Amino acid sequence: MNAENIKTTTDNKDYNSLQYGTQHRTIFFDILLVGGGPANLTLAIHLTNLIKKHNADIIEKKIDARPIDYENKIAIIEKGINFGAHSISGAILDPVALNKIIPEHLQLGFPIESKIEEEEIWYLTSKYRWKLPVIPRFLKNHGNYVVSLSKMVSWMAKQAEQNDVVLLNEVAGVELLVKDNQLWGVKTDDRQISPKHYPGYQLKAQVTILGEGSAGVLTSAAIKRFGLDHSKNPSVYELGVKEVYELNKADKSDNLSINIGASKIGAGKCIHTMGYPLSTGLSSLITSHKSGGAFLYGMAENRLAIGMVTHLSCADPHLDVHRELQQFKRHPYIQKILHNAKVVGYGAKTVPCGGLYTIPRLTHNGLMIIGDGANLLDSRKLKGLHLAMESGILAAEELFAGYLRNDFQNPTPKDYKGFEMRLKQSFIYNEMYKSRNFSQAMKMGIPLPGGPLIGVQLMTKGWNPTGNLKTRPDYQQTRPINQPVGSRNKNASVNDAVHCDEKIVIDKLTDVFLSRTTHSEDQNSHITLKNEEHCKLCFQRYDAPCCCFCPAQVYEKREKKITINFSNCLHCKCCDLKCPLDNIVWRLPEAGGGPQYTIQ
Amino acid sequence: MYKIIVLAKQVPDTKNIIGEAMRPDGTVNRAALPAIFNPEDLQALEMALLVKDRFPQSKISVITMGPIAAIEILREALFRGADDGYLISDKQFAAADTLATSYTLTQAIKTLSGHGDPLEPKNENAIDLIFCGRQAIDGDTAQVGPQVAANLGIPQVTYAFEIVDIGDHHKNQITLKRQLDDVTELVRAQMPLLITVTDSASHARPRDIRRTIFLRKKKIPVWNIRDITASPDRCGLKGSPTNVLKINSVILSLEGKNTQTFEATPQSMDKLAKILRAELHQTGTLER
Ligand SMILES: Cc1cc2nc3c(=O)[nH]c(=O)nc-3n(C[C@H](O)[C@H](O)[C@H](O)COP(=O)(O)OP(=O)(O)OC[C@H]3O[C@@H](n4cnc5c(N)ncnc54)[C@H](O)[C@@H]3O)c2cc1C
Ligand code: SF4
Ligand code: SF4
Repeated sequence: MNAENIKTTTDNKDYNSLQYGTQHRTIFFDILLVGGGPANLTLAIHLTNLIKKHNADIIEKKIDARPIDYENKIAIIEKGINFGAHSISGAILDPVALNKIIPEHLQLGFPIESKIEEEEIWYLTSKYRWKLPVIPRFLKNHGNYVVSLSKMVSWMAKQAEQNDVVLLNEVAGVELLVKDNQLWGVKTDDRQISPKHYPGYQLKAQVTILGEGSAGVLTSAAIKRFGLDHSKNPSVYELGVKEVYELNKADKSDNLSINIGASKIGAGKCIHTMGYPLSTGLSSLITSHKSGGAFLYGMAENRLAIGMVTHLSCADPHLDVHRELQQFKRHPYIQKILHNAKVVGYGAKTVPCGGLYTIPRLTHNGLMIIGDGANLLDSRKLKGLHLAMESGILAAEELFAGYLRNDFQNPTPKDYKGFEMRLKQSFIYNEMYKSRNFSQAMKMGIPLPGGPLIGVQLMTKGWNPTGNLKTRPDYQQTRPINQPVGSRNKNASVNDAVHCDEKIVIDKLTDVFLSRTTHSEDQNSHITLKNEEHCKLCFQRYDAPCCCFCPAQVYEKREKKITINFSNCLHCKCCDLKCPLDNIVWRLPEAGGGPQYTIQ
Repeated sequence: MYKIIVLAKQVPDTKNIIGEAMRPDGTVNRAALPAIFNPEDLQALEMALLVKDRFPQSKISVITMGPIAAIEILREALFRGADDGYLISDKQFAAADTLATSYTLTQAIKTLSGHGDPLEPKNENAIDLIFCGRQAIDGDTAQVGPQVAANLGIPQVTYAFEIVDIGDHHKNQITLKRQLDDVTELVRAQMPLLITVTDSASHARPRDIRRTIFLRKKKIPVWNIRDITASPDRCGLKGSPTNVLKINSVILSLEGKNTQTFEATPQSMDKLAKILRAELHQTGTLER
């Protein structure tokens, strides 16, 4: 590819001559952001703020420089039908990065559910609850916000739009455009609208920023293609499953909250729990095989976010996080909270929890990776939002420096190595350094044997007595059914295990309906099996884990075969990571498909 | 080359109702439902675009009546290939029934044709084709399209799902397939013509990325009651004779009922009306 190729910007304007064909199917940008999550939106807002300030300073003669023209040059693509449609999180937001880019966000109507005033950590046994007397400093959340990520992302997208960033929702990047060891952009999704086929576009840019979130398809491809994970620990993940409830107003003792024991539940309150149902009882002290925890976050309008997060390194082939969440809700304390409440939303997504040693190299010629896709997540706190946003800020500053150097006049993909330097000097690195061994110890099991290790880590800023802990890909951790793993539950399906009353225990498909996910049935399934024969082997050895772990019941065993109901898929990426024979290929479906989150 | 108008409506996504969108009394909480392009209107747009694919000089203008937020669907239409969008918006249009809506849209169409006769071929803004969806998913009346045709005094082809030929025999002739209960009808019609499109027509093409980038800031004209010289008495609530007494969900069953067949003549329609009226009085649904 040569310089002319990327500079023929005039034909960008040629939209009216468009017929769906092969010509004119290339569009050129300076900067292309793939994925409309908090990381990329922060980058877009911050970068355009910097440019706007720069241009204003020139007009006011504060500086003597050339103005930067970015009209139609900075674009962001999002595969969801809207910005926010695929965004799901807990979520507690530490506003540290938000304060930097939009200090007056609250006046501008940033959608917060509540400000945290009270927090608790509970250890649950199957019947009782033990409230931690003190909360470790790193888990303190006072003053942080509870947000619905889908609302927050939709708000941020409006801010970016006001800053004249090109927002392209319902567009998925499906392929990297690589030439001469350089990244030149991405190809977008084809559409099959029977009987016609509409080919995608080539979106070319001098820098492509992948902010695809956890286990991004293009991110994984780029890491592999450019060898960015050389000598790093393999990435590992947790799966988070969340429901939103509308609490019963009649049960409220005052305007804000319901009283449970000595605990109030409602807006302004967050509770994290450990123990039941993932590990309880004496046997779990030695063989607890599932690790993770649950959360309850009070939201506005009398809503409650209730979620369960579990390590995918779990050895149990029958792991089903949706079912664990239903079990969790059957705990007497939680049942009380949910008395007469109504479930109104559902969703699921994976979380990269491998920590510092799994962060790949984050830049290459024409490429930058930020946010969850870069494994920037503090696993101790289960917090990635502020790190994703901060990584967006750092990338924006690096790119702004590029604009000042006139990098974008000279059309070759560059390696913005400075981004990694900025990262190492930021609080991101500092936080991740402290939790560098946390997840590995956590998944060994709480309270034993992981507990004491974590204790030592907390006292020593993350040092681990047995040396820096390694990770193994999650799918390699599943054990065959004939090997014992803790108190294995024989009943794989929640429907058999516990009666679905559709109030406390919600059937998986009912929940899937609440995610409002759908995919056009004109297209071929975006999920395929490498080899159907492998599944037969898997049935005998592992009893088809996909039928359990998928939070959307996409996989079903029928007549000794796996059927794939791809329309239900929530894009959580779990199957891509956890099939014990690595037999599943998850590709990007046509954009617009997938969940339609609004309050998640 | 044809001058085409597409009538479109923004509607609440009634297919996608979940907990939050229903009020405890079972009515739809419109504010909480995502607003979408009425599906059959989108298919009407596609049919118009197919004409433009064949005759690229054709011009497609999309008209919608609604609140300011309805500008969204006009943008959608531009991104997919329409040339212009016009939003007809005024407080006085609120709470319109189908009669008032079709009057308002008719005025807008007349305005678009430069206040000249929209049907006079010598008028360079004269209209050849008007496409609209058969019905909107929030009301399901299927009345607006036919009423607009009646107001303009032009023929109409309802329930169309495919254009068989256009301009092949004569520039102003079009042949369409109509979908009836159990037959498909082949109709040849003369333009100017209004066509209502059913859900078995082709689905709309995706929005085009290049158009999205360059048309996202295009100004969309917003016309109020004066701009379209509409009479306030015939718009909105004032111009709406319809009175909704009650909404019931009715399950029809012929079992045990004696049935009668009526011919489509004014006399037998009168007879039918009398019978229905008597029955409604009897059940107390209609008060004197
Ligand atoms: C259950 C759960 C609870 C959590 N709780 C918290 C919490 O309390 N506090 C906290 O700080 N963090 C929390 N996190 C983590 C937090 O949500 C993530 O760290 C954060 O969302 C990462 O932001 P991101 O922008 O990197 O990616 P994402 O938010 O994942 O956004 C990526 C976007 O890119 C889009 N995309 C991906 N690939 C493509 C493509 N090829 N083409 C087009 N679009 C694409 C996706 O649709 C998505 O919208 C939680 C996560 C989960 C799952
Ligand atoms: S897809 Fe994977 S997990 Fe599912 S049955 Fe086949 S091999 Fe087993
Ligand atoms: S099919 Fe895979 S990506 Fe989709 S919901 Fe199931 S586990 Fe998640």
